[in-house]
Amino acid sequence: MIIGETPLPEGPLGVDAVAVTMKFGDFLALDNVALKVRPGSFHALLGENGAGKSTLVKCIMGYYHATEGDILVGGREQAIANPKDAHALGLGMVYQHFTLVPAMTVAENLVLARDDVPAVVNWAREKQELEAFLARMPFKVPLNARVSDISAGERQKCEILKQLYLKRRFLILDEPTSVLTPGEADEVLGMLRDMVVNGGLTILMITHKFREVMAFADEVTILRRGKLAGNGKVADLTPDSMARMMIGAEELTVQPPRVGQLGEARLELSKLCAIDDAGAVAVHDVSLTVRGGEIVGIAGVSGNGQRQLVEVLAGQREAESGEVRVRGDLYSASREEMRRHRMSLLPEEPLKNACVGGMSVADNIAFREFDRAPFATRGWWLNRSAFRKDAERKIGLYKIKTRSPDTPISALSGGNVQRAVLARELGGEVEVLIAANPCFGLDFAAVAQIHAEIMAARNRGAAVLLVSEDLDELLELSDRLVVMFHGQFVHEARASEADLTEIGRHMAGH
Amino acid sequence: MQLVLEKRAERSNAIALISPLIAIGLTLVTMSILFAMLGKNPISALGVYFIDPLVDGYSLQEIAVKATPLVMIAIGLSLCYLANAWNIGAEGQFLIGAVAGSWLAVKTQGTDAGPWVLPAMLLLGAVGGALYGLIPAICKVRFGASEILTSLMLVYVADLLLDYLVRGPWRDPKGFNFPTTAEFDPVATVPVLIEGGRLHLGGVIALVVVAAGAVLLAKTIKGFEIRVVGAAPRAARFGGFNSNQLILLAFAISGALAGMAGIIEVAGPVGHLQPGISPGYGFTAIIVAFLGRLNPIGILIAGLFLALTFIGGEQAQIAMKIPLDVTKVFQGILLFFVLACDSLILYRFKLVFASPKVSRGAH
Repeated sequence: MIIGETPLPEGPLGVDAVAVTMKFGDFLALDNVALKVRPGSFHALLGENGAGKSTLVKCIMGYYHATEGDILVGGREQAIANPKDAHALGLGMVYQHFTLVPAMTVAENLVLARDDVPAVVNWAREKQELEAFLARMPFKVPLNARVSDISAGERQKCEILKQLYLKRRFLILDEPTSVLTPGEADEVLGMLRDMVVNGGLTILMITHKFREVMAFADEVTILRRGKLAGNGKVADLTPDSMARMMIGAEELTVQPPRVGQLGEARLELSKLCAIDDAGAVAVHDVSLTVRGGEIVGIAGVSGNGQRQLVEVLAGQREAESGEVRVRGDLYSASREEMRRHRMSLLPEEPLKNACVGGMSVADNIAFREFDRAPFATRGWWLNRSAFRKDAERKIGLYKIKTRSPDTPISALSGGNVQRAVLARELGGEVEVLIAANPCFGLDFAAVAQIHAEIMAARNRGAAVLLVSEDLDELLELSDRLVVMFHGQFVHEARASEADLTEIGRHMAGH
Repeated sequence: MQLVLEKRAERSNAIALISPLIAIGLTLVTMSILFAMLGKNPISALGVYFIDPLVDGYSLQEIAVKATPLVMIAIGLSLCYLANAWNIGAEGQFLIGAVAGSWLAVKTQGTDAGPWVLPAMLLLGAVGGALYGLIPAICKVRFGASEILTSLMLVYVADLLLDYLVRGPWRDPKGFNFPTTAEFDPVATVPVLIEGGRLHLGGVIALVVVAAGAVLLAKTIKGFEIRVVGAAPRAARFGGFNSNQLILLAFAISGALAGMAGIIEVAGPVGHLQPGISPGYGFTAIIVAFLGRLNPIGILIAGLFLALTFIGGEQAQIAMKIPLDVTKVFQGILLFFVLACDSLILYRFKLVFASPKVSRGAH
């Protein structure tokens, strides 16, 4: 800040992004986008993944420098060279993932986040000041508890409190509720809303949940593929009109209706235990049966052992004890077993977990079947033209956008990588399907297509195990719902009779 | 203002192709500085290194002779490296192959054994190298031991075993106590291609190995599996690939090729078993494999290039009194630059200015 300049106005800050364009090489991430957040308002920034929401707030916070356009803070143009400049102006950001130090207490985390931490901290005085600060805040957090001991909801509150403690007057929240149960999300957003209404704070929240926009935001700005798709007062809009602005004219795949009958038990887990990379128990004594023609959903806040469970089923992690049976046979995730039982897997982060990034789309689509006819002959030779023919057919069938079958799969967008995996995993007959967050980070068109495919596989009689952090997705697709908490299954319900608050309570471990 | 490495959106195929050339260029510049510091004229030194051997018929043959073991070993190493198995011990597998094949040559010496001896020696060399290569592979698969350490340490074991044999049981009784076996019989010797020349049948075998490596990687199931296991271990486990089996296979092939190169070297240009049969072929082949982009054709070219540095180094020693160790320095610098330049495939340099206003002009 220049000395002698008049200070920024008191109270809540407004931020304007004027005609912001951001290029990464040839890629136009933001194209002449405008965002006007009035002081003292709760503003939602809505858009699909890849629409440019994160890029825009990173321009505001000084992580990126816009190729063109200006950022106005409190009505004045500011050159924000780095996040430190943004902090000095009173802008703060709460990230999707936690930035607190787990081994330290809440109080230590708050004090050490300050720019002016003295060499010797007078903890007694700091504690007193913190108590006084907390008394003014609507959130209550246990100051002396270790961060590793408190729940996800409390951690998210700490993250927000940290920003307020650092005297930030403009808060950017990046999908703040993605790690919270529905109950926790409503509580946190409700309190933030109260603070905005009572003055002193402006909030810009990135989200893709219409429910949160309708319930808490005053105004909304919608981005689509790097362009401004619309904005206005939430009161004047409906979820439908916002969805149309987000998606544009694209047509979505229609999900087939739920039909068919329950078959025999296909996938049985009994007393399965697994440990995580750090050696802690991640999956504890888990038993479950999935029958043909049903989708069993596993709900839970991220980090409760779902990932390790899926890795065991995918052959990426060895179980410590317990067993997995597929159609009565012991299963150890070998190639031969996967093939014999027609197992398909849609893992999370498909590029990392299920693809060879440097190899072509055709090679990746043939990944499961390359050593069988028609892809291989005489147990030794590959038939390259069969690779290509099959890939071309599936690229058309699954609407995979790629320059050619020979393009490396890492060059494709996330949605198209997942489509390619979908083509590979669901292109043939499926008897057991295991899907883990299959739609994470994808656009509406891809999500609709994947949901339709999963439902279609179920209707054809496949046993489907769907692990997801998205409760809406689970409620939409599942026949049965199981809640996983601290590595154990703690609750089970029929999806049609499931009570959202009940499930939320179990997700939080109550 | 600062210089930062920025990740490219996509890997640059153009850089992937020219990166070895950039590396060679940078190496030549560095070497020129080194020659100048040694008090030699850089231009004439580089001339002796890289031009003179190419204009002399004898040197050309010698380049092919030196390239033969380099290429054979590097093809095997490239399979290991593609499978993410770090075989650093090709030198040891080379020596054990030489020992295993020489056993037959020593045992049949002076008998009237027929022309089956040489093929049998080559086979023994390959089997010996493969078994020796399997030791670190089994330790890795079974106990999780780092193959980098075990394969490297086994080089010294092989070296000492060879030393013991030629100083002890296999020493030529008429050899004036020199640590060497007797000259191999003609049936135990790799024939030369041109009468009176140095170029031998091993060169042809190396070309066959290059072709076989190319076919294995591009056209076969095993080649596909090796590439998948190396490029994406998580995805390979997801697909139910048996990565342990592939690591064993890669080490076995790699060891077999190094071992066969070893016995060809002994039964060819050297003619008998003695210490110092390798001027570090097994280590230089690591450079050949990476300089050749782990691609069989690239390895052939890179092998010829590094053979040139060996020949050029010898000539520079004779003509300009440049120490032979400079060749090793040269090869080391080359590997350094090859690996360094490879980061440009995935990253690019970018100037970052402190103020955003300035950076706009730079976009």
